[in-house]
Amino acid sequence: MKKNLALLLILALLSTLFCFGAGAEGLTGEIVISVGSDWVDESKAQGKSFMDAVRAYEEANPGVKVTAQGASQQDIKESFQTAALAGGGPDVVIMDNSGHAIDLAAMGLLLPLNQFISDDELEATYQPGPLNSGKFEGVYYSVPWYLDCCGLYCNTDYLEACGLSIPETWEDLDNCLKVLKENGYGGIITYKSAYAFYSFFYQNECPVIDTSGEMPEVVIDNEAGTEAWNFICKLITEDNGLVESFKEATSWDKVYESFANGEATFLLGGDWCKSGINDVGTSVNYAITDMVMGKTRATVLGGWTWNINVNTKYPELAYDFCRYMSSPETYDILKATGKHSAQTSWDVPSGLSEENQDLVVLGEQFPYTMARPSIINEKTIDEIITNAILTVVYGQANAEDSLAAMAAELRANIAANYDI
Amino acid sequence: MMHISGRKRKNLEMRKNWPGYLLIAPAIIAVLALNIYPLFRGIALSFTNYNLVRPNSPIFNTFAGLSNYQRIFTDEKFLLSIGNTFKWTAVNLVAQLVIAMLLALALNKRLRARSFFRTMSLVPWAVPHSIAAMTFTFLFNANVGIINILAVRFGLLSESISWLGNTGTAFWCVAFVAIWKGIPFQMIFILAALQNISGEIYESAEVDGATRWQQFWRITLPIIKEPLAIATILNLIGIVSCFNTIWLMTEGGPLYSTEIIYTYAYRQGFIVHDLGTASASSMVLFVIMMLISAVYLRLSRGDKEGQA
Repeated sequence: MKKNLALLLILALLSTLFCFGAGAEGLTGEIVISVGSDWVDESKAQGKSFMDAVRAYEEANPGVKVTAQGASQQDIKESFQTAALAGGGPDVVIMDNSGHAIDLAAMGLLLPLNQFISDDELEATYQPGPLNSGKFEGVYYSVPWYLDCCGLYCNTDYLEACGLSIPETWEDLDNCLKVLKENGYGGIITYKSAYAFYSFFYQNECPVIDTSGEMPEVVIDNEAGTEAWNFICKLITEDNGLVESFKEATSWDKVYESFANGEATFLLGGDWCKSGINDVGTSVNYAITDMVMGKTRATVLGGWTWNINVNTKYPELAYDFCRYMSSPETYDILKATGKHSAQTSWDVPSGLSEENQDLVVLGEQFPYTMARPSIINEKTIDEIITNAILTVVYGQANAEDSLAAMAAELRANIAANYDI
Repeated sequence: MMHISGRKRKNLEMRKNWPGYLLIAPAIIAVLALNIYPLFRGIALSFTNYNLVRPNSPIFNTFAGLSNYQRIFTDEKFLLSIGNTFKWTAVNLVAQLVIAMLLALALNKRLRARSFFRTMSLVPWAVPHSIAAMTFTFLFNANVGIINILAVRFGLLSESISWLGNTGTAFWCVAFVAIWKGIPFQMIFILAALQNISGEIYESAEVDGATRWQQFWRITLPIIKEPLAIATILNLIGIVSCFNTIWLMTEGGPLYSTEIIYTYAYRQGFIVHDLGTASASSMVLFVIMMLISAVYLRLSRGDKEGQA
């Protein structure tokens, strides 16, 4: 009797173990995802559509539970990094594609995607810019979700008042700023970072930092880079091109306020600025257009990616969830928010809702949109470039000296993070 | 009389007091885990090569000697942050001390609605650092900030300026917020000390012909000197480690004009990802705070001995 009972117990134990094992294959488990607070705020369309998609995933995969945690968009990387370094953290985190994933991959905190999907499949599924923004030492770490790029928002009231048309080239922009200044109107507002300024370098065929070789190489002070830098400095000094609010624009809210209140005539920013400006409640009439053209057409890439924590207990499930969230199955989220999927299959005009058709012009820039350099500590690189711009804004250095100092600091920073 | 050896007495005391030890154990463990361990770990890291983005480097997590210190002391930004830390501390300390003293003296008088004023003066202390920083950032805003709107309306400025975006004004604006926030803490200590002074002393002094200034200088100040020193030391620690206000308002900028050692250490740790130099700069801050505290404690002890 006792023997039979023991046998029964062993069988029950084995079947339980088998069920759990089979479950892992059949995707069961509980994962925590860390996303920006707006994505979990169901009182708004953005959060509602996102959480609906999460629930749909849970329904399609019985035995799976996804807990979405809202986090500050600005601190999401730092929060994740701290938790992951301590051996914990959410299983999945979304991050800006401005180099965060590179830092985390360098620290060994992200799972490489090659254990779930081949590079060829990834390259066939996603656009190269967003995909490369999560590539470190030849390995992909981020599943691209949506992408955006920097465009030009123009206050058409001011332009009409000055008899100007929307600028299309560097020369047009230069001329516009001069005329606007003469008529007492403000120039450009953008986020106080290097983000929008990368576009001018790219338009002059300068990648700022060349990452095509084995080691990153600073090229910001080559001939093309110097030309682009001189143009930026000219806009700042001669045309008084950056409005006063730029100096304190450490959040996009301040950028929207400046434009919506009529301080600036131009805003350099991505598709998200439209809702930001409208939320401020503006009476300004404005147009959204593509970035001005230099030697070539180019603009800087933005967007967000899905990343998997190296500490996750459910890597397969985490990857499947990332795949799902960036797949056509969840295009409704992007439609609701006016964002463009990073999938190659995404059709820009039909992917946007009726009221967001004015953002199509930004989507049309994607073929010539370039990512920021994929290097370690991109945030520090950004800070160095921003500070160089500020030294010119404050009149502490001229174009030549600021460029030389910036290039030297960039080289020193790269040398500290790579075996050079 | 029965003789009890030292060891036995200790055992007896231990047996008698064990519930007490048990009760304070959680606090001791918390202090060890959250204060003592991080302190020693920080000291160790400051002598270690610990660049988080280079975990595969052969020198990662190896003894670095003084190289982290050497690197920060050759970094212009760190030297600037030391200067800013002293400036920040001096400005905050002096302003908070003087204003808190004046407020406390005023609130110690028999005023009408004294309770109301006392309560109101504590409001800045009750406001969380982050809320205060966000509110003042909004007030200083170049576009919609009330300070600019009023200054332009009353002709003090021809056009709005970015108070937090200019190198000449950012430091003073952030310091203003920290001073506003720090005054109640200092004031409450002084007020408590003032309330312990008997009115008879002042009456006698008045009879002897002492002026108000003499009363303050010869009676009030010597009596409240000790609590004042303690309050100042505690306040000093708060001032030097005032990270939230600075980071939320300016992130140490523009062009590092509001960068103090604390923000520099944060930048090194969380943006540059180099925990070695971040810890080294934190150690410098730690030493500075230890020295200042030691000087104050010595001064207050010296006074005590003098009085004895």
